[in-house]
Amino acid sequence: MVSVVIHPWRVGVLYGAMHKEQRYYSAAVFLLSSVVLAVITIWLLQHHYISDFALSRWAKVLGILDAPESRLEYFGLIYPHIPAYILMPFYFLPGLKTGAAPYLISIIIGAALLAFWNQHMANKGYSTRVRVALIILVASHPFFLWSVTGGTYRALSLAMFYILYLSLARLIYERDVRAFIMLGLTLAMYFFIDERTFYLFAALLPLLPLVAPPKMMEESAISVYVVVIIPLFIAVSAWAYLNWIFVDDSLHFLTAPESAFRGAWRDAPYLPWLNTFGGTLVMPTILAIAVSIVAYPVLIVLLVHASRHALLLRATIVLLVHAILATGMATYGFFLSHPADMLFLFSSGLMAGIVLMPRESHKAIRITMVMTLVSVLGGWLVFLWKPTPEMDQWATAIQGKPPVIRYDNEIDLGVWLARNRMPTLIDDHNAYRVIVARGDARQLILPFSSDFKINLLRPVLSIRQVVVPDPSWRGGARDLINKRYPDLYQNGMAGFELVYDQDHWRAYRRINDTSVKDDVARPSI
Amino acid sequence: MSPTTGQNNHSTRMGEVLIKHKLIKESQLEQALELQKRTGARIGDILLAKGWVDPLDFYPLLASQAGHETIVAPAGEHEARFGEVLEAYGLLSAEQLQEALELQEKWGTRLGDIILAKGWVRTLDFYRAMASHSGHRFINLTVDPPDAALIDREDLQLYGEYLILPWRREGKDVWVVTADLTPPTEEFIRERFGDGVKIAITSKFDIIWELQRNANPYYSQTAVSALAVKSSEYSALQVFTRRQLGVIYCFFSALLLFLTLEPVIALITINTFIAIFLLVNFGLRAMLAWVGGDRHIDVKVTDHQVSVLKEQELPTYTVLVPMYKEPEVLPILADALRRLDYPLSKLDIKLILEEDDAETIQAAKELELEGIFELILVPDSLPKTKPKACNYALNFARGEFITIYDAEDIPEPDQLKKVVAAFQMAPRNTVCIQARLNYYNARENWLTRMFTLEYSLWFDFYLPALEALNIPIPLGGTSNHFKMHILREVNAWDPFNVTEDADLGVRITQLGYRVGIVNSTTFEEANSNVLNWIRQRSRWIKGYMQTYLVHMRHPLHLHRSVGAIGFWGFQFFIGGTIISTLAAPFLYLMYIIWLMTKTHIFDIVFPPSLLYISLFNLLVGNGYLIYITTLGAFKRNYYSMIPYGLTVPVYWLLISIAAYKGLWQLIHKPFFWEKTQHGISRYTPLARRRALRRNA
Repeated sequence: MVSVVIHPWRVGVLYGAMHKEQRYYSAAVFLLSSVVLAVITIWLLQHHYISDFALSRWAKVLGILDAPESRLEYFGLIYPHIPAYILMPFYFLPGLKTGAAPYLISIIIGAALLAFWNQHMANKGYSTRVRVALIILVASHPFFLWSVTGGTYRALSLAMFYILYLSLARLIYERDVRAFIMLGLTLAMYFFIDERTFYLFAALLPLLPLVAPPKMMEESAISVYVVVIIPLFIAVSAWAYLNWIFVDDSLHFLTAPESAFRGAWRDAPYLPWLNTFGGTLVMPTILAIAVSIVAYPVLIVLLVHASRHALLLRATIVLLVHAILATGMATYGFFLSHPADMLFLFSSGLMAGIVLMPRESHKAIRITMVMTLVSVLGGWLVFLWKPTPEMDQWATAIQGKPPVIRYDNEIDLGVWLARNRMPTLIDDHNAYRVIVARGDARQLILPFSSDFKINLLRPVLSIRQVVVPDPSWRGGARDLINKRYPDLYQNGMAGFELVYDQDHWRAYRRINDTSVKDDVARPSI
Repeated sequence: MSPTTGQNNHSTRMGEVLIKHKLIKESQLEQALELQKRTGARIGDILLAKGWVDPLDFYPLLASQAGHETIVAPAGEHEARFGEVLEAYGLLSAEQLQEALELQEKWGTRLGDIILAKGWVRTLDFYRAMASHSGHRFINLTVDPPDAALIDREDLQLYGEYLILPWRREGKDVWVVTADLTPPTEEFIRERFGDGVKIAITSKFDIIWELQRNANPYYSQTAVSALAVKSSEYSALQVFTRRQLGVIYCFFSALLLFLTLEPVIALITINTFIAIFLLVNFGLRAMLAWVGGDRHIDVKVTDHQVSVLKEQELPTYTVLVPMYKEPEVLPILADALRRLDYPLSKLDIKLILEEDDAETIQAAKELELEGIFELILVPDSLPKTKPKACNYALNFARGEFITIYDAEDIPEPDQLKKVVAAFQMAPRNTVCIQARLNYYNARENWLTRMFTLEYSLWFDFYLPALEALNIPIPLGGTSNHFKMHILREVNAWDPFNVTEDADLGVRITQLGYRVGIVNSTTFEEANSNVLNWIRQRSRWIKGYMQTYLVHMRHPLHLHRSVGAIGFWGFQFFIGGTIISTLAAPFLYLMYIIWLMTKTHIFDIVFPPSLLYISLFNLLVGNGYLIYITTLGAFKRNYYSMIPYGLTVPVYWLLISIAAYKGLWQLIHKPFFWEKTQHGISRYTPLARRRALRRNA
């Protein structure tokens, strides 16, 4: 039995000087994790897993960086931008234009998070063996794996939640200004990474009395809220301002139907979780507790360990209640497609909790490891319970089963457009998969460009080629070209001929345009 | 003959002598003899106890009657005996003597210094008694002034330090007066004037006043020109050097040419420069707030470290208090200084008053301040600035350390001890320790609240962070503590720089020394009047401009002497403050015009990448600065002030107004000291009454 009790918040746990050996270990963790996560991702992609998020963001990056004039506002202001900005440098790397970059970024961030966690555990005094075991166990949790191999920004969100939770813990233990700055900036930054921030923030507000310095709460509770709210308020106001100057509507990012800040609201009828619990608070919260107990029973162990340490107990309670409350609130707001879509954050919460946990005995560590293993099993149970299409696709792919959804028609169109290069009018809201399949967006005239807007002002298009989806197809009616020319898909346009017609897509080209020779047989109308 | 008879005879004779010298009346002598018969006490003790004779008249007479020149104390326990003599003179009570002896043991200083510091004995009486006790002649310099021809200008500073003054030549003998009869002083006197020199005693104030009277032109000239003569490159006497004027001329000529030939590109270039400058400036401040926000940066000198300091080993501390037309705050200041937790006898406090400031001089006299307070009257000369007054007073400073307080300052009582401890812990090349400043009238109105938030951010976050990052620290207006010999070595303050402290901080760093920050606070009076505030702030910003210009005369030298981090930190912390405050109104104006008209005329000078940087500055940069302003209140537990931080953009506007006033004055009246009126807080009368009551 280890008799030494280390204070749960030892100064230097996060900032401790790294020994050379520790640096090597962390580098090794990063490299090995990257390799393992990359293998899993390749496996997923080989089994036709495709992240819609990854495709749409990468298509945006291609569209903007291939445009004659690149402007950041072309990304649109209805979703957080930082994940898109992180993608931009990868555009310039050869071999990544087909859409591997979002997955690669997820892998890198996931591996970096594990490496940092390893470092923090090492600073806390965990042995290499224990660290390796814990890393394997936590990384095996389906919520973690899904987050870091899915090509979405969830890996980034995990990292932010890890920092957010450590900021809260710092505030509890250190009560210094830096903790407030950490917390404030993390929340503000979080807003530009993950649209869940609103709910995470709202769920945090009732917990602030547990976190804030007691003296400050006594003297001026409103100041606690002001200090915590200001950074996020500034971030949201800044975003609203940008919406105002670029879209003329400061609330566009909240009111636009396709806004990511509204979460799964638009798809609520198709999502079992929202269909059943959307707009309610109590039941989803109770279910979130149940899901958490099944998926992360190890958190109860953390709570038991913390019960002997007043400050740690507060931190652990905040961790547990925060994500659960956020799940309930996000369901109430028709935001959340599945409890796992919020509770996956427990993975990084668990990592931070282990860092903060006092190292009291080998037995306690063994119990933690065993319960983490149980959590992995429980996690798979939860993951497969009424999954969203995205989760289902990932779970199917990881099991090596045939895919549920395939996008062959978009890939075909992308390949066709790559071979028939000319200025082409296309709305990327539906066609992002096509753009990624095409490999670039050069000569594509996308909705953010003035050419696109000018064309849509005319009764007859002055473009050489135009691509439209079937308006009756899901999402097709929202296509901007279809909205302007509702008959285009069906009847074409004067002066244009049909040059491509496959599944839900058609392409029309100006008659007598012989600059490019088609290599795909023209279908008959 | 019985002893009593002999005693009676002697008493009668002594009594007759006293009557003869008209010091007592015959009836008093008769009563005293009656009492002597009954009690057996000595006649002198009875006369002194009755208060019928002044001890300073009695003892010399007694000594001459006994055939001695003076009363000589028995060997050993010299000071304790001197205390008894004072007690016997009736100048000191037994309780005071006892307390003085206890303090002597505790503080390790001379009994006389303690008695003077406590103000128990009038200075003149004290020195007369000391002369009498030590067997020296007492000379009252106000009655018998010294021969100016004997005063050597080269030694003026030493005269002030040793408290000596060559008095007169009598025959072959040279007489030197001193108020500090110690072996080192005697040794110094003999070294300077030969073994045959005659030493007399006088009051220390007489020496200071005579020194001033005889050497005022020299002191004044030194105070004004020492830095300008010895290290002209650091003096703000010349606002712009020729080279700087040349560079400015070339810069603006090139800019005009550029604007004429390529107006759009030129405007974009200017815009880019400002945007990037503000971005980096914001980044620096973000970093400073982050570094300064760490709780551990505040724990520097602990209470325990202060408590283990041995008072016997504490050095003499000079406290300079420059004042001008501030009679109402004088009692508050005196009260605060009396409450310093530092052996009073090791305090050398100089109230520095301008010669023409009759009302403050009068107020100081009326307060009947004890011996630790010395009045230094600065002769009227230009520039009439605080640094010049301090330089002048520095000639009379005797401490090992020296600090400055403003008239309205209330330092925390343990500040001096904390500084001593901080110096002990700091690297050897740390020559200045800056205490933190804050306000006691923080909640008076919106302006004082904003001023407090700003000061809290500056002193609680930025300055400790600058220290941690090795960036030159612009010292705050007061409460900067120096090692005396280094301060003199670097020629002290620049009298032509209106933020002489900021300049000195940078100069010290350039000369290879370090400046530290201590976790002790001096509370000041926040300016509660907008116009008064603008006056004060315009001086500060003008001073920053002077400081920037002085230290940028040789940029490469600055870079070499403070390193890359220090150099760029200086550019953005000092230069950034100036440029951002001057640029802000233009940026605000452009923004308001755009907001109201939605005009596209600015589009041309905002290409996308520049637009993003500008938007980032506008939204994130300003947002973050607002945020950290609210946090400024945190370390001070001024939690209720946090919401006021949101109004800081209005305060920034005021700063910009002051900046333009400062710029205007830099060109037209560079050395004009825009005086801040103190004592206008509504708390001042209360604090004054409290101080006077405590003193009474």
